[in-house]
Amino acid sequence: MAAEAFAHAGWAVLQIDLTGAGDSGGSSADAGWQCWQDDVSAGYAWLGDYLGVVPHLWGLRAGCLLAESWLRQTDSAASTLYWQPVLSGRQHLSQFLMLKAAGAMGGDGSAKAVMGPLRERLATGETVEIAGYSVGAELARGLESVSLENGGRRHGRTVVVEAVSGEPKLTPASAEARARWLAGDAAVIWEVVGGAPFWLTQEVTLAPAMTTRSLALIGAWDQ
Amino acid sequence: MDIKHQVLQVVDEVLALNGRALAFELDTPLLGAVPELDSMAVVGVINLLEERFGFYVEDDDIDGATFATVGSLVAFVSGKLR
Repeated sequence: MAAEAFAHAGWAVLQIDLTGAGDSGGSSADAGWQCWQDDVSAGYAWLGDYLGVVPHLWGLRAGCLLAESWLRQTDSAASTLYWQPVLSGRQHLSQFLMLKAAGAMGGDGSAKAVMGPLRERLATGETVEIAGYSVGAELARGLESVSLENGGRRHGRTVVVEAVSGEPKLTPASAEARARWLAGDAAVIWEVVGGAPFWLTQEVTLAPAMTTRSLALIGAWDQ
Repeated sequence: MDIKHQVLQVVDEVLALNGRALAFELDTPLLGAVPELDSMAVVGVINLLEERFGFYVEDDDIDGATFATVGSLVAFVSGKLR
């Protein structure tokens, strides 16, 4: 839906279906952090070849970490739009592992009894199964190594848009991350709009304010 | 920073209580008393608290007792922020 809104505003949008995720080929066992970086490279090259444009990157949640990882690895100066970015890959991995420990935590047990062995298996290069997905050690390590908390890249513009219900104010975590980006002279605009947390819900919903605000903020970028 | 209010906002958002949680008091019981708070919701609350406040919950930080009441959850968050 958001991609359509962007298209109406004149943007060509290529949505990448990462290997082993969504409707694309392979199963979750085929997914990997480097493999996903290669997917981003392929999409980036395709846009350049077929449309003759210099593409920008657009990410949602953990997709922002993948984009950031790709930008740092390729030392690209591409502009990026991040929607509700996961700030810490390490935290995100923990949260995913925690899904498996949910049962234990609702009762008397502790999360450690479940999560400890999971972490050990990943550390020794094994793949673990969580919520029907296979998570390989390489994917876990890649995700864990990226963070937006400690500042941004030296070049390339970044626009971050977050939605919160209630008073539209940056969360303490985002405010701190933004301050570090600015302190490192990163060209970043970090804003918050009002809206429901659509990435948490099962239904397909959207925060319209995110789309309109984003379009305004990236208006200066080359289409 | 009003930690209790922020914690209740997170609980309200994750459990989709439409503002009901904002009226909870410190001695309001949570786990076992609020039917919407199942094990997945517990994880959801932890996740959003981590992201909002920017702290890490370690594997052995948390158990069912943390979610006994609003007060125990607020005390946990306050402890992480210190």
